[in-house]
Amino acid sequence: MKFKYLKHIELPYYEGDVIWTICPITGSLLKTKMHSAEPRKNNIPLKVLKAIEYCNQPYLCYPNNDVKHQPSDQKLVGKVNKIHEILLKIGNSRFYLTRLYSSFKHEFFKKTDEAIFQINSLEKQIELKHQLCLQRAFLASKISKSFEANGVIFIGAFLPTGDMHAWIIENGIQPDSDDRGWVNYRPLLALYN
Amino acid sequence: MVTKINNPTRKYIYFNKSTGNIHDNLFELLNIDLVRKANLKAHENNISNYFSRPDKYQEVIEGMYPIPPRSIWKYEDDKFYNLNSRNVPSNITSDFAELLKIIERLSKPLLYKKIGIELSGGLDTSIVIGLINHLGLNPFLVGINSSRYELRTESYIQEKYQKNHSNVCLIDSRESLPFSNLLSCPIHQLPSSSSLYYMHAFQIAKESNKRGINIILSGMGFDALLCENPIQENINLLPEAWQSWMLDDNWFNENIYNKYGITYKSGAASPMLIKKVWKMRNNEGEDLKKWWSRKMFCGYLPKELVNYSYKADNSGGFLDGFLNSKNEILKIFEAAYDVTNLEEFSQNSLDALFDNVHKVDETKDKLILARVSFANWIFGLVREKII
Repeated sequence: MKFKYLKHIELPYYEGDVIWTICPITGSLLKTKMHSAEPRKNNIPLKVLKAIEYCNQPYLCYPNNDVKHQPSDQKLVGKVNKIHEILLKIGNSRFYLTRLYSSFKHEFFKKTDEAIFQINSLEKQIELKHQLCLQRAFLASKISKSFEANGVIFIGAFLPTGDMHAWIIENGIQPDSDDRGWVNYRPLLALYN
Repeated sequence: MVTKINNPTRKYIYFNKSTGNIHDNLFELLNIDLVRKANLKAHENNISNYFSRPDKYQEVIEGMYPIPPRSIWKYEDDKFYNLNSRNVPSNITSDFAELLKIIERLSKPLLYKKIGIELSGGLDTSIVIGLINHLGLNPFLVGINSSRYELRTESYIQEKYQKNHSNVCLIDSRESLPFSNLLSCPIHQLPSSSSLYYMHAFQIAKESNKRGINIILSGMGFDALLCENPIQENINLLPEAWQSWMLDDNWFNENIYNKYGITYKSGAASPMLIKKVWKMRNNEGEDLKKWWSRKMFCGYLPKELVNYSYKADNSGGFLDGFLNSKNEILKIFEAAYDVTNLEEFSQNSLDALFDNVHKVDETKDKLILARVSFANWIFGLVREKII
């Protein structure tokens, strides 16, 4: 196990005199008045910049043609499930703890799409797929080796509904082939190793 | 008693099951008492159906059933049965070249017409555009262009067509959002949720009319054709049972396009075409991402759509339109309340619809569609002094 802190970049969206952001500590969607303040400029790493480009131009993403991975052995499935259960216990309301816990890496899988394929077969993910996107994305980042070099977690909102979603972009691919709805969410927070 | 009801026209007609009479103009019949007694709950239930058909319709006006254009029905023992039949050849193969021949044959009548195609920027209309272009026709492409973030791929595809095609018109979506300009909505015979989207059709009809377009093809029905599992027994019967009135949006044709001399129809409105595509998809199961069609028609599509399988949500425009039209909706609710005295059209009920409307709630969205379209129907009748 190694520790690779999940750093964050805020991606505020300016809509008229309103700023939409996601708090990197609580994970809450915030809508604030700008009061003529200058838009904040972030120093965004190249990896994140490229991933943002793919979010903004999803038609440029490389296809993830429903690659069928081999199911992992039961021992590994058990380990993944255990970590998933811990993330569920931490819950969405303790967002920073989720971030911190996911920074302790257990790189069971070489690639993030393999990790997500496994996560998607967990009972609770099948049952509550739409509600558990945060746990899915953070768990994938924690157990995938390739995430560190190329992956970025995004948390975004479908404005103005306030509906939120988390997903990963890695090397120009959305590694979750079951996730068709991520394009509806404007990325407001990026997390990366 | 058995009654046969035949509607050979291009408009809805109405069958009164109490009297056995057929009416082609309900406006002559409607009065304040009938409208006051109109059943809002039935209309709420009808909202879930994509089109009105008498066998699945709940009476809004007592005893009155809509009969779709070009459909034939039998009414017996308080039930409706569709009598339309189709003879689709059974020797259809899964050959792609044969599909192109079928399309060529079906398109022959189009050679003498000025064709428009709705340019949504999505896969379905792009297939229609690609195939019509392949026939050497130069259709007018007309679409509603939105700046909403979730529709960025559709906008990109629309703009790509605009760059590479000589005859394209993109209309700003702000002029055609759902619920917009309801005070001027054409009067219609029964309440319909389509009436809330009339500005979309109106803008397209207006631009097409300027260019002398006779027919506009859309991507309606493609979801069923390209996504459903073709080996399911009940769906396999569909090519024989599929009637064009199930695909065409009759409300828009009757109340908008017909007024401009335009026919608006699905690019897939042919049982032959449906049977052919399903034959070709025979070994595929359900295909929600439409991979089969992306691959099959890849040579006719913008390359960005070949590997693209994400789905934009249209509820943002619905929400924007609803919120922007608050004042107009208030006015039509006031008119509906004056006529019906129904609590559902009171100020409190309207406030409840707007309360937390930005939160995703499908049940509430349906309620909004049903109540606003019902009030819109009544407002039109009052405005035009029908009641």
